[in-house]
Amino acid sequence: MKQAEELPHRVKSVQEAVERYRVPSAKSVWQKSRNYRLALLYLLPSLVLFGVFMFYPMIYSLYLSFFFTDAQGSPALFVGLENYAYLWESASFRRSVIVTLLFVAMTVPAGVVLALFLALIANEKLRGIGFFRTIFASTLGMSVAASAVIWLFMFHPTAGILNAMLLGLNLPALSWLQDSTMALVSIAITTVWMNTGFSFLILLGGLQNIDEHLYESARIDGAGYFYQLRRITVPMLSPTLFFIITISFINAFQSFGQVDILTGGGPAEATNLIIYSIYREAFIYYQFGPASAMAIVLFAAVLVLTLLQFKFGERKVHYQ
Amino acid sequence: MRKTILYTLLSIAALVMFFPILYAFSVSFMTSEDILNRQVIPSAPTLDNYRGVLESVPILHYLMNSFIVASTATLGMLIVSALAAFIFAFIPFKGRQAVFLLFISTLLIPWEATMIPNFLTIQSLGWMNNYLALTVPFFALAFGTFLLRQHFKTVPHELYEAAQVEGLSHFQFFYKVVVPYAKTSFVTLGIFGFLTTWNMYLWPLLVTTNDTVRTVQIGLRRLQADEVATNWGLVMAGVVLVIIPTLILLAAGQKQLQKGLTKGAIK
Amino acid sequence: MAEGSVQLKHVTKSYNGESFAVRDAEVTIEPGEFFVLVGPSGCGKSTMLRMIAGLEELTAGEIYMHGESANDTAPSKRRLSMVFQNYALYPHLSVEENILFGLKVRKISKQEQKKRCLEACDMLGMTDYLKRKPRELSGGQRQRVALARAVVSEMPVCLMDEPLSNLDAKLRAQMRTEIRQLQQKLGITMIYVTHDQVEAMTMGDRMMVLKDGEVQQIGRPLDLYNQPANEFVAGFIGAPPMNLTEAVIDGAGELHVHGTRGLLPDERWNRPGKVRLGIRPEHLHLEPSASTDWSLPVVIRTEEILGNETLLTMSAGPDRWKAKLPGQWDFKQESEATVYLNSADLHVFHAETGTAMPGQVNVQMQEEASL
Ligand SMILES: Nc1ncnc2c1ncn2[C@@H]1O[C@H](COP(=O)(O)OP(=O)(O)OP(=O)(O)O)[C@@H](O)[C@H]1O
Ligand SMILES: [Mg+2]
Repeated sequence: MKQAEELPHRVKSVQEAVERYRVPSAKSVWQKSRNYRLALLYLLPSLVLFGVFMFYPMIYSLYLSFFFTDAQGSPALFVGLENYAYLWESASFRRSVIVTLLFVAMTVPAGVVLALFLALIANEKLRGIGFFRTIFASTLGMSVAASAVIWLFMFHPTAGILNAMLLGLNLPALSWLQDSTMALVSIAITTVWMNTGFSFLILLGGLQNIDEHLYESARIDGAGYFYQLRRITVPMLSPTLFFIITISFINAFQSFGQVDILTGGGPAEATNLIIYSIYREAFIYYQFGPASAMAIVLFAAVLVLTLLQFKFGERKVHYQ
Repeated sequence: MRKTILYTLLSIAALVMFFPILYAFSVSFMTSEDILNRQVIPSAPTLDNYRGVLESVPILHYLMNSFIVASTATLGMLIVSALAAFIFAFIPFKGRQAVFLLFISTLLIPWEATMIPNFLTIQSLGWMNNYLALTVPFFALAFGTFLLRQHFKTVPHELYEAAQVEGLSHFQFFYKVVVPYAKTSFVTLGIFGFLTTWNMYLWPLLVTTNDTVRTVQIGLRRLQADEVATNWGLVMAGVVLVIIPTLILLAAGQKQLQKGLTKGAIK
Repeated sequence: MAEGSVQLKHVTKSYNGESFAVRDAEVTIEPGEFFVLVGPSGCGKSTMLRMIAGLEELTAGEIYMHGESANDTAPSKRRLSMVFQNYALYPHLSVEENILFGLKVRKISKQEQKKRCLEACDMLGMTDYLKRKPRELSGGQRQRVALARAVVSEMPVCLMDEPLSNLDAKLRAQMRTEIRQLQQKLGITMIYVTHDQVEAMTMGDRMMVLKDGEVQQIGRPLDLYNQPANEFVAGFIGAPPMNLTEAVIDGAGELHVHGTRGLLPDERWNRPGKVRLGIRPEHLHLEPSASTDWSLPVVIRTEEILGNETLLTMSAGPDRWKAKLPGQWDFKQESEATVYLNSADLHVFHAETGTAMPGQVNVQMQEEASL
């Protein structure tokens, strides 16, 4: 019988193996860098576009905010923090900030709750539910311009259907867009309506990802609908909810089209959201310096808010 | 019992949510008397408003522009995002994580912070009133890259290795295996991209100053500004023409969109 | 060296620079050989196979394919085919397209493609479902498609990583023979990874046993069974595993186990001190025969009667032993008994290192026994 092969001497450590037996690769630097070249090639379009349309303008905005600009928008005079000081003192800007915060407070909670409600009732297994889902999602297909024009007509003081309904109910007619408190509410209603489609769709997807078995075992334990909602649905849905809340914030800060069409910032700047005042400052008055300062302030505010949300929101989120 | 409650809730919610859209449709077929009398349903449906809107503004031209812009932007977005996502899913290199974070960080930069310099850039590139201005800036999209990467990662690693053994180049693997495998995610991102670019408002407002490439959203605003005092029926006919393409797209792709977006958003 | 040979020299892989995934492996695989890599989960089998395929870079050492250094050769240039555990079929392509995918990439002529496809499908009996998509196939059928893909490539070396682990027991047994026959018919070199020692024993011309990235032993299946190089191989190969126990060799060349004494069967083992002793379950008998020269008292604990054989668990001193007896036996549990054995069947291992002491082992081939 042949003897089993003897075991050869074994290296003790990886280092020793490398020292004794490493065969240097004959590949050229060109061959070795293949992955880098490939990555560069495939990432180049994105990197160039991000560079030109995201990172460069971000920095240039900051740069512009330290200058007065001429009529072409080129920086003409370095003024340091003067643009920021001007904002700080400007009653109009302070008003904008307050209006924006009010607007966020009106749209975000209402929008999320409405979308959640719709997603919950549309998540039931019923005949014809697909039809309702399509209806609820439909505003995702509605552009700002179209939505705002429709609502503009509905808000119309005399020809509008809303006031017609109020009169039909024997209630006094409202001046939806002319009254300075009511105007912001009207814009908020339009915004919530417009954004519901997207939030609904995402939340519905989140609901459908929840494991059916969780509900089945809860039902066996005799838990009621609202108990299940509180103890299973909301916790399991929390990552999706968190995502939607963040998106809603960002959307609220970027609401431009509805303001432009419905009120143009009025009456008496009552709906002059920051984004709208940036637009006016820059593209109507050609004050690029102060407008850039506003943009930077807005960016910082959004950034801080988002980070705060991540810091405090993330903790309450259950990931599966 | 439970069913009755649910159907009632669903119906009420659907009516409230869908009312503005239905109402717009309804008004677009009304005569001006109906509108003055605040009717909900046209008493004598007419197509006059549609005829009127086609005559008074180049709405078909705007629609065409929007179509060109949205399709080009979507296509570009799909290609550019897919290329980047492929690297993040399959090609490891030192520093890849850092580059990925750089991509994600663009999510934190809002449009308003970049709008002024971007406008100046477009001006100096000579892209004002040009399709390029309405499409190219939207080709690179962190959200799209992220979404596709999530889907690409579901391609089994064995397929990648089998492709290597069989001698596929990376590009062949990309378009012969990965793209067909992750087909559905392209549909999702495609629908999403089309809807968002079709519905763009502020940016086209800034970079178009005449009708050559002006999109239908801005056209609608002009129509509204011009006609509002005189003829709401005409304006609503314009609105209907603008929303029909996206509503159809949405109804057709709703399921797909919901599945695909949820995955990109939270997984 | 010839086409189809694969040689590993000091092949070493470490993912983290500290621990070994594969440690200093040395082997030469001959053309046309069926070579099995076997070992428990996580021992580095897949890593080694993937290094041979070129999917993983070597930390140190060198691989020769077809007689030439292949360290810098791309997987597609190594002239090998590979079958994966989950088959790696392209879900969007039909069976036929899957089979021909690699040939298309390599720009083989349409005619040739057709010819090879027909041959392979004939060989594997799958002409009926060429137009289907992989998801419309059963596990066994998918397995065949994966095999067909390797067959049509006509590469001289084929690598398989646990290709049968997703199949049920019966299909697995059938595919074992099919793969073996296929390999012999095509005359290709096969390197086959499995964690199942039955597959290793029945399919391989030779096998390599790995543990924690280290090669334990390389050899023909029966050689490994009869002469395991160490305790690990002894325990890994054979079911139930070899019985092991502590023993002491005294100065007089006698062996002490559980208070009994026996003579050392091999002079070379005569070094006083502790050793570990091994005996296979089938070498324990309950009746003395002409060749037995040793008996031990045991207590029967449990028995499993399998029809043609009976498995006994027994306490022998402080150890649990298993015995495999032909035929059907009936014992009372907890009854005392005596086992008989032939000291020539003993395996002796170093107490510390666990390596086998060199020495004669009584190999009884079936022919000899029946004579
Ligand atoms: N890509 C990797 N990165 C880091 N460690 C790895 C990697 N792949 C494998 N390992 C480690 O290397 C060791 C060997 O893994 P390998 O996959 O070769 O085992 P295996 O023998 O094939 O096991 P199994 O039978 O479970 O497939 C394991 O400890 C594993 O954790
Ligand atoms: Mg493995």
